[in-house]
Amino acid sequence: MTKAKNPIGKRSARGYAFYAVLSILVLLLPVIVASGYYMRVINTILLYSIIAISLNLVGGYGGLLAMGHACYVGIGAYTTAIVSVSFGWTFIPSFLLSVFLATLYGFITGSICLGRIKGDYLMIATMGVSEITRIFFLNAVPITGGPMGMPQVPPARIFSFTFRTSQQYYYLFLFLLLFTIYIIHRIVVTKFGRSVIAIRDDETAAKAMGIKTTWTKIITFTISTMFAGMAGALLAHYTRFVGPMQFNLDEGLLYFQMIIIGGLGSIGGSILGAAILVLIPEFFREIYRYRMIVIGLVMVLMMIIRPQGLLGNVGEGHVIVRFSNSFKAGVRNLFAGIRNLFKAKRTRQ
Amino acid sequence: MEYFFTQLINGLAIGSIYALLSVGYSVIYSILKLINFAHGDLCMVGVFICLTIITLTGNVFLALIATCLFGALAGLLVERLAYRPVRNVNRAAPFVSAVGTAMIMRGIAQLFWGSKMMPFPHILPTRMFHFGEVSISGMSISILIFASLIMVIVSVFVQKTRIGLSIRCVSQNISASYLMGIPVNNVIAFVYAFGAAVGVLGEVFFATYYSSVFIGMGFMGTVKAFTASLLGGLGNLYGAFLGGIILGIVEALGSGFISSGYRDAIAYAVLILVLIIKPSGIFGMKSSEKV
Repeated sequence: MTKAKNPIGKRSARGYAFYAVLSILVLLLPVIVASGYYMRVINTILLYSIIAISLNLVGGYGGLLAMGHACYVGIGAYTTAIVSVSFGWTFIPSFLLSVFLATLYGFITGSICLGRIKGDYLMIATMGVSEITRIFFLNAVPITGGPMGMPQVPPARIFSFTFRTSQQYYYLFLFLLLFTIYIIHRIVVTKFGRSVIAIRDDETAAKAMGIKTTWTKIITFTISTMFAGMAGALLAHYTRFVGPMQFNLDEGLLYFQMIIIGGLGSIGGSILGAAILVLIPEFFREIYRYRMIVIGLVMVLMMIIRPQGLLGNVGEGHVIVRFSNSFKAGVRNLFAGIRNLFKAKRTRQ
Repeated sequence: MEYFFTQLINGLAIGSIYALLSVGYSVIYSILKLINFAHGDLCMVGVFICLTIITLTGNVFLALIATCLFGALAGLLVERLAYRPVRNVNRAAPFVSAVGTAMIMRGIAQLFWGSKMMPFPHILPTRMFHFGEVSISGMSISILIFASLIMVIVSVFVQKTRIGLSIRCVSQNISASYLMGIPVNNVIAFVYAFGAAVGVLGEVFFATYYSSVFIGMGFMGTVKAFTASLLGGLGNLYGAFLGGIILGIVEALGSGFISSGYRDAIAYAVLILVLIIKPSGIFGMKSSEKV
């Protein structure tokens, strides 16, 4: 059996140069971008990227419609807020505890939801778990502060270093995002990851090949919730406020929209999707009265133009080739979509 | 015990509203396997229009007719512009398209009516009736009566008319219906219009029951309709009716006897429990997986 193909593609000298320039740009971004506002937007994108990539493992590679990831982000955020406000824990122990609790909760709820419930029913089951958790956050006033939330979460502190500016947080988020990308990428190319994809493509066939389908799904879900909890812990320190409305159903749907718009089963796509759905509302901040309508229109149009997601299903090759291919395909699709709008009577099932 | 009966009747009334909301939802699902996330938000805009017409003319009957017409037209338009272009592509694209449509609807409501909660007039009698110790509001009873009437009309329509027959055919097998000469696209468009018109009525009852109308109502309606149709078994009209009523009763009894703060949590817990015991809903048919 041949070695699994490197998904980044064969690297040429030009490829190395591209990655070198890209890495330098990414590392120096806080120096180039001086404005605090733009840094905050970038940091938000990084946080959402962590969540989207982790959800992509479940939703994109695993094909499971998990719409309730907001509650695991919430568990991570609330744990961090509680232990750092009430007990004064520093970043590393509170972070580890948050990730542990989110993972544990993910494992328990995943075992409940993934056993027998399938397809669209899984969607409502995960949404149900998410809502139950949010209602708990809302009502358990002594623990979570109820509707008032937990204000004044201290900034992250590692030993004697305290993160204060967005530029400092950028490196922390970037480090954890790279960690997430690396782990998810490693998982996808292993035997375990291949069996996750096999279950998505045909569950019965995967079972016949000897894959423990339910167990694999639960483990995939648990890994994904681990990263969601991680993002939640970062979110609590970064926004310095945790409230129940941050983790409602809309939020869970938003994560899923990110991975669909970016392309299911594509790590780069998840980052792109997160960037798009964070940037569009920021971009239309000026015309806030029409903002919702514009965002909705963009989402509908994007799906008509490119239903498989921006980076989904674009074939092999160098990343630039793939991107230009996908762009060309998108334009072709746009015209096809416009044509279809006028003659859709003939659309065949 | 009196309290139990009062809660039960309230639950039935709310449940019948959920049932109306989930009609359009369930039929669409049975045909296209599409989860219409814009359903509730579209109906919410309808309620705002109903409110505007009532304040302008004071004629409730006219307002209801106009609202139903609006629902049907908006359903047609949304199907044509947002759903049909992505219908046959994959499962994920219609989902995002639907959520996008929902956001457009919310944006429209926000633009014209603002994001504050507005009072909604009582369009149904509010007199209290007393049966021994049990006291029941006339509103619950009239909602129950009207909703049951609409449900009966819908079922007779689907079972007895020619259009109803073609809806049932398309939901069984879309390709075979094409071959039999059924205008599938028109049937699907009709189902959207029809479902939206019935759903708008459900949301109007909802608004008058809680005597308020607000933007968040739309997404709430979507989720309730989704929950109700899954509880009953997706793609089954009677399942949707019964699922809605069970959901309403569970919510009313849960908030009456356990805790009102955890009302929705109890409803979701019951739903997850039902799905674990019977993964295809209460009345869902067990579909064998094809290999």
